Amino acid sequence: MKKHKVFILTITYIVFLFIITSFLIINANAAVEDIEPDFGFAPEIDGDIEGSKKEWENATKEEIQLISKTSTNPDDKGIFTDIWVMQNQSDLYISIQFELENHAANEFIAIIISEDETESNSSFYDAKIVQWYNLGGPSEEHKYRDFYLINGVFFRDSDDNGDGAADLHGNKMIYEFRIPVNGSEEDDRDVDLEFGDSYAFKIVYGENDNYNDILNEKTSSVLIDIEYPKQEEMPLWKKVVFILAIIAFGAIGGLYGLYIYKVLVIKQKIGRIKE
Amino acid sequence: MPKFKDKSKKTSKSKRISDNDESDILKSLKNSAILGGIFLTFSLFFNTEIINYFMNRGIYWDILDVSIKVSLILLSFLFMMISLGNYKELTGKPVGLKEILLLFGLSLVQTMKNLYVFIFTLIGLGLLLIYLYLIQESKI
Repeated sequence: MKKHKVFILTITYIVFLFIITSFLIINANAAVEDIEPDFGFAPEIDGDIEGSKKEWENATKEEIQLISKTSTNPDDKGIFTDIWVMQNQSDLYISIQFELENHAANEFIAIIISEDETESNSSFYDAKIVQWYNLGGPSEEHKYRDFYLINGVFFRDSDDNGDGAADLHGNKMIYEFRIPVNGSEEDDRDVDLEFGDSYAFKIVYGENDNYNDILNEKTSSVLIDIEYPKQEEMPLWKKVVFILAIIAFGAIGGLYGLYIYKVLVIKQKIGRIKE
Repeated sequence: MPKFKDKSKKTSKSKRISDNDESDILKSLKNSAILGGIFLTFSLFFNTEIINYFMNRGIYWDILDVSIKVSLILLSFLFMMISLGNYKELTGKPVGLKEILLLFGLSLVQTMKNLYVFIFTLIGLGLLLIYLYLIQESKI
């Protein structure tokens, strides 16, 4: 009888732990991906990821799900979203892409940046937002805005550092962001993204422009490592070109020197010709 | 005293450049050589990529970078060509094909590190040569 009690208690405890931890995982909103972006050339921030230009060919590409924290509908699987990340010496580039049958008129994507890799509410204090107005209407437009957060409350930054744009391609919405790194363009209210450090980025989808009371909010978090610029060893052909360039430019300099000498002695030469 | 004037002497006298013209040509020769040298120096800095500030910062910066490199090469070619033309005029000879080809080649050598710079410089040099040929023709 005692054995049965212990067994039942153990089973109950395990089930309880299982349920509690599942609940915690859902609400912790922990980073689902750790992204180490590659270096690439700066893409044009216009909401267009033209394949022909290969703008994003070096980007690290992952898929995440933007999930509602408050939804009670078990069938709500969120929004399947592609996230592309790339960087260069001055900026981090993020593209967010997803398809929806019906896009909300005032849809937005916010990228909220933590001061480090921690994901507590207070650690997120910088937000870059691309906001649509009247999407699908005659006066549709989008705007890029820079916000800072204090205890989760959004405040407009006086300077819109970075850049962002979006465009709708059929049902697919493409957002592009440029976020300065290594102090290239920022103020005290922006997170200083430094080389060699990891930062938590929260991707937030919403359907209105009141960010302190977001409608149909769906989020996901990723960790992004800001990489140091790579010191690549020069390939052989580049070394050859470099040596040839030194020889060629040296020869050009030499010939120019010779020409200047000839110009300086030309008076004597003219004198001889006249004689 | 001979009855008839020596024809050959008269011809050489008419072709002789006056002292005033000579000093003007010399001035132009020196100025264009200096300008050519300045543009050549900047071209060497940009085209050897010692100055690479505009490179790899985005498409618009790349366009600016290529434009600067091509312009510097074309300007140095133009001024060196003017200077060479003046030099040749002072020494009484026309600018030969050899010299033009040498300048052309030296200008193209500067583009060896960038294909776009090479293509646009080649087009620019072609247009410049056509222009110089046409204005020479119109003067004649």
